[in-house]
Amino acid sequence: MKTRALLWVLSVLGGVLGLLFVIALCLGPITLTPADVLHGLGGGAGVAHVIVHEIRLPRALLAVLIGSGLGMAGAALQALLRNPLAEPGVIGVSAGSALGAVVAFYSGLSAQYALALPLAGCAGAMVTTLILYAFTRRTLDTSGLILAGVAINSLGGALTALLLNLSPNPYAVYEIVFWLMGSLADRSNVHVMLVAPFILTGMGLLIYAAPHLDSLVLGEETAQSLGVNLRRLRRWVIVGVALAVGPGVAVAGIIGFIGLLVPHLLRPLITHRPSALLPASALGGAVMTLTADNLIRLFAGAGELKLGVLTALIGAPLFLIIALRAPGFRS
Amino acid sequence: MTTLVASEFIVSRGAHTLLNEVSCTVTTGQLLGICGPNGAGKTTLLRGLAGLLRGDSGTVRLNDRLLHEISLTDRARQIGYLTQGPQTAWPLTVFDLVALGRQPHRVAWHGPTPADQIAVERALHLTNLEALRVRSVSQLSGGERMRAHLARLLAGEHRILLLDEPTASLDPQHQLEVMATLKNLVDDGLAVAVVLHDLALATRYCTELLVLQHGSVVTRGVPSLALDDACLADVFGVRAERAADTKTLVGFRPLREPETRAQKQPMDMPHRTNLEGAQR
Repeated sequence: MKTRALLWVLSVLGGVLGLLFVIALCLGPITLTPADVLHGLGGGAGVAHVIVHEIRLPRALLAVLIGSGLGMAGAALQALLRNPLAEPGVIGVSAGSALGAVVAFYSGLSAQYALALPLAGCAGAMVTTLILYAFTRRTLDTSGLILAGVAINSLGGALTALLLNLSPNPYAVYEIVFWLMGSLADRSNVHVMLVAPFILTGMGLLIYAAPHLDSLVLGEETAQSLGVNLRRLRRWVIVGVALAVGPGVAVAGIIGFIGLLVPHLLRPLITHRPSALLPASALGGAVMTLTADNLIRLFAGAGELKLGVLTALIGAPLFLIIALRAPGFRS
Repeated sequence: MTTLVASEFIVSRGAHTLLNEVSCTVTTGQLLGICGPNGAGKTTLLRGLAGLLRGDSGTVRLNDRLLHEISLTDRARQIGYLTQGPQTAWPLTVFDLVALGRQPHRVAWHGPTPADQIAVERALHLTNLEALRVRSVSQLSGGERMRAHLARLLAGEHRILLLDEPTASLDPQHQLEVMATLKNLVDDGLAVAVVLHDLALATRYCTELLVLQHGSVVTRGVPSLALDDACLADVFGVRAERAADTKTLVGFRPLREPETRAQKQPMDMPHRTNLEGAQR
C-alpha cells in the first residue's frame, strides 16, 4: 500500500518536473514553442538553439540540481538528527559556502576570474564539512553535532557580516547582498558542469545512507542495536549534505526553505521512512525550485525578484500552515 | 545453544564506577531477570551485553567470540535489544515500526522477502496487534505502544533478547501477557534477559535472577533463593509479604512504616508575621 503511494507520488512529481522543465525552456522574453525547444535541443545554429543551450537549459538544470540537492539534504538531516526543524543551514554548510563566495567577492577575485566565486563557495563548504567531520570523530552525541553546526553557522554569518562591515566599496556590498539572496540568472553551462558532479555525488552518498537512516527513527541506541554504525552513518550524511548543498550555494547563493519544507510536505503523502522520503524529497525540491524560478521569470519586470526571496515568501506561510496543523497545535 | 557471557565487566564514567566486575550468563532456555534499586547499574549491564558500550575491562562474549569482534549486522541478527521507554521520532504505522525489526536481515534497496513478511505477521499476532497494523504509533496508548515495540523486537527473530523494563508502562494484564510471551519464547529456545522493577513478576516468570546494587552483583540464582528476606531488606529496603501456603511473593511492606502527614512533627518555621517583620 505504502509502496504504491510512493510510486504514485514519485510518478506525479516526475511528471510535474518534466512539465516544468519544458515550460522553463519555453519561457522568456522570446517565447519558444515546445517544437522550437526540441529543435533547439537537437542542434543547429539558430537563435532557438542559442537561447535553449546557452541560457535556458543551464538555468533549468541548475534549478533541478540545486533543488533536488536541497530537498534530499533536508530529508536526510531531519532523519539523522530526528528533528523536524533540521535543514542544510543547521549544520553550517550553507553559511560556510556563502562565506567562501563573499571572500571571493571581497578580494576582487570574482571580478578577475568568473569561476573564482563558485570555487571559493565550494571551498567554504568543504572547510565547514571538514570541521564537522572532525567533530564527528570526537563525539557520538547528536545534540553536540547540532550545537557545533549552529556555532559554525553563526560564525560563518558573523564573518560574512564582518566582511560586509569592513568593505571599502559600497558597490561590492550591494553586489554581495544581492548575490546572497539567491538567483539562477545568467548562469552558464560551466556552472552546471562545476556543480553537477559534487551534487550528484552528495545525493548518491545520501541515497546509500538512507536505509540506515530508517533504523534511526527508533533512536540512536536502538539503531545501533539493529546493526547501524552510527559514527560512519553520521559522516556519510554530513559529507553527503555538504556536497549536495555547498556547491549549489556557491553558484546560486542561499535558497532557503526548500530543505526544510519539502520533506514536511511529502511525509504525510508517502511514509515517514527516510529511505522512501529521500528520493521523493529530491524530486519535490527540484519541482519547488523550478516552480519558483519559472514564476520569477514569468513575472520579471524592471528588476528580477531573487529566488531565495521568493522561496522564503512561499515557504514561510506554507511552513506556518504545516505547523498549525501539527498535533501540538491542535491539542 | 546460544550463550552471551559477561566476565568481570567493569564500566566507569569519570570517578564513578557504574559496574564493578560483574559477571553473568544469558543462555538458551533461560529467562534472566536483572533486578536492583534505581542506579544499581541494570541498564548499563544490559547495554554492555548488547554491545552498545565497551567496558573499561572485562569481556562480553557471544558463543565464545568477543562481542566487539563480531560484525554489527551479525550481532544485530543474533541479539535483539529493547531500550527503556522506547520512542519513535516520526509517527510510523504499527506495521512499519514492526517491520523495522527486520532491518538486520534486509538487503539494502531490496523489498521485504517472504521470510520478512512472515516474521512481521507472526510478531503482530504474538503481541495481539493485528487490528492496529495501520494505526499511527502516535495514536496508540502507552501500553499498545510498548507492545508495538515488543513486536518490533520479536520480528527480528533474534537468538537472544535483552529488554529494559518492558512492563514499565503496562497495566497488570498486559504485564502478565508480556512476561508470558517472553516465557514462551524461552521455552521455544531463546535466551532472554530482562530488567524488571516488579519483583513479584520477576519471581513468577524468571528462571534466574541477578540482583545488582551499586554496580556490583549482590546475589544470583533461582528467584525463590535469590530474593530471600535478607536480600529484600538489604538491597531494596522492604520486607516480603508471602502467601501463607506457597510462600510466593505477593507484595512488600517497607521495613519501617513511613510517617503519615498527621504523624509528622510540624516544622519549626518562623511565623509568617515574624518573617514579614524581619523584612521590614
